[in-house]
Amino acid sequence: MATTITPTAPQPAAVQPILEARGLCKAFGHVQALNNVNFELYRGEVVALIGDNGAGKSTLVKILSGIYRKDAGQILVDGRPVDIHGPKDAERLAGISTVYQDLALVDVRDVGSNIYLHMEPTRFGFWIDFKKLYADAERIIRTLRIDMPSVRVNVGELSGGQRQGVAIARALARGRHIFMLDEPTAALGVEQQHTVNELIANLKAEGKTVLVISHNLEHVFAVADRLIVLRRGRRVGTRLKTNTTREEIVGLITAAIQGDEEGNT
Amino acid sequence: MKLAGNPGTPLTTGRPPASLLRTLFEQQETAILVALFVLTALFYWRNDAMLEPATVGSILRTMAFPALIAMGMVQLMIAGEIDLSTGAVMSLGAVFAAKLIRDAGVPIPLAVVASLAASLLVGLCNGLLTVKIGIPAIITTIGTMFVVRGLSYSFTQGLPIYPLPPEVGVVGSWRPFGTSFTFLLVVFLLVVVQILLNQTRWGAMLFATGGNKLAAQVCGINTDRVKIICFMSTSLLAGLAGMLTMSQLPLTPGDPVIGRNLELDILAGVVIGGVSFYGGRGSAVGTFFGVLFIQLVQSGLVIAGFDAYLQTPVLGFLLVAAAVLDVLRNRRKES
Ligand SMILES: Nc1ncnc2c1ncn2[C@@H]1O[C@H](COP(=O)(O)OP(=O)(O)OP(=O)(O)O)[C@@H](O)[C@H]1O
Ligand SMILES: [Mg+2]
Repeated sequence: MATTITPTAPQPAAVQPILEARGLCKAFGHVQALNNVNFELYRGEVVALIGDNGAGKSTLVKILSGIYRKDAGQILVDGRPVDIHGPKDAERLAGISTVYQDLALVDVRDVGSNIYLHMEPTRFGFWIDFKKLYADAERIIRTLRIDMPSVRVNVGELSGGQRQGVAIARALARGRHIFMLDEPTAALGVEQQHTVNELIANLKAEGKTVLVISHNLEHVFAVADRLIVLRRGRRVGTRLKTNTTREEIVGLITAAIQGDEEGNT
Repeated sequence: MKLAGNPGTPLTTGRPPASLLRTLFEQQETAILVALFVLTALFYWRNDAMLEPATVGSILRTMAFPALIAMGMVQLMIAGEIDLSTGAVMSLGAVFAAKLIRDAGVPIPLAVVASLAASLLVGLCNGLLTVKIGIPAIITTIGTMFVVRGLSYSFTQGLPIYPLPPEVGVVGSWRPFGTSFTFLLVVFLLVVVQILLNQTRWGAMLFATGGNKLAAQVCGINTDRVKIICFMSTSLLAGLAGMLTMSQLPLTPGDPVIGRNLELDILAGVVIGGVSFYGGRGSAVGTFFGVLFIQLVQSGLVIAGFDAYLQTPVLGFLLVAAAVLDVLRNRRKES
């Protein structure tokens, strides 16, 4: 029973996880990136996935969003097992949209075209309606308060923070109910980080579910309801933000504190 | 998506939005157009036959074959792949149709369809080997180039297939405005491909596939399928170009030498026209001018009275020069 592993669900109504993974394994050659990891997201919560470099965080996100194939394990959406073979499946079956750590942007295309890549508004189902595309892109960039020369400038000419903004905007534009953000603020300035925090809070207020990966504990404690700690491909701890301290979390990350689920999965 | 809070700071307008003129002429198209004029002027200065209607018509008729294939190649290269088997597929296209018509008594339209189907099959093989098995396209298509060209020679024992019924030459002997059916087809395709690339979701898929395959995939684009479609349409156009060449030749023979070395003209033209070896960049208009440029150089050398054997080294030089430009452009962008 995976649901009993979590101390408490954030909302009493959310008994059934909106997204759940059981016994996920993934190896790259000799590196066991994920080792029998259970994972669950409840509707409307913000979960922070934390752990040191190479702990397996991005690997977990990429499996859930259909970039990597899992070696073993099961993924369930609203309690029903699903097969996720690609990003399209993740979007369609689970309503997941993702900001990848490496951003996955097309440098030779402009901001608007990146945000709406493969979901361009069209006339007669064929011609791209660029007027609408750029207007929508501009609106979404404005809400993120990211300083951008224009939505018609090529992404390759942008700064790291601006590129991150485009990746976030793209996830927002196609987002349905689950957002996964792999280090969304790593390249952002203080003000933009703040905007992203606000954005996450707004998504939560709208009833969306957010998974955020971050090395910045201040950021984590500012936005997350629940913290899941990975260490060397294993899940070693789960804490409600209200029931833990930074010291404990740092201890779990660095193995100064023994993981509470070690050996019991 | 509704977000709380004020609308935030406005976008700073650091650069004007791309105007139609700018998108048309900012890139390599401008440079190539200037080069075309300069070169024409130079050849004209050496020999004023350069601008006679007969000369111009002949240049346009000759460049139409590589240009036709280049309209497929530009899409393939934007998607990040390449095809060196096009000249060989031209040969097969012609020879296969000729063989069916002369030796099997197949009606011409049916032979044309069968030959196009064979070309598509070669494109499918190129695509599957490259995309599914993961062989670099340059190797795959050099392989199919030898296989296909070899088949074409062995079908014919190296000899042209003729006589063919006079109807075979009907399309090829048409001279609208002193040009040819193939040239008109190229102009039509030029418009279609330019629109496809810039105004449709297909174009967006191509640029994304060649620009960053992973990004294309995370947005749900089936990049394998995109590439296979490009390989197949390039081959299809090559087969068609082969048959059109046959139709335009005197006596309309199914000659296995059709399309020999033409893959290099096409490649050089496409790259000179601003298409990148790295994928993600290029235009149909640039490609057209690039192929025209290559043809102009080759014909112009002869018209201007230079040694005809210079054509080949000049072609090689231009190909490398275009590649150097491409590398420099890419390097500047990375730094
Ligand atoms: N595509 C890949 N090929 C080979 N090894 C990989 C690949 N992706 C991840 N790994 C390995 O799997 C392990 C987990 O990587 P992952 O990217 O999930 O870590 P992470 O927790 O996201 O780290 P970071 O905080 O640095 O982003 C690492 O040892 C990494 O080297
Ligand atoms: Mg990572």
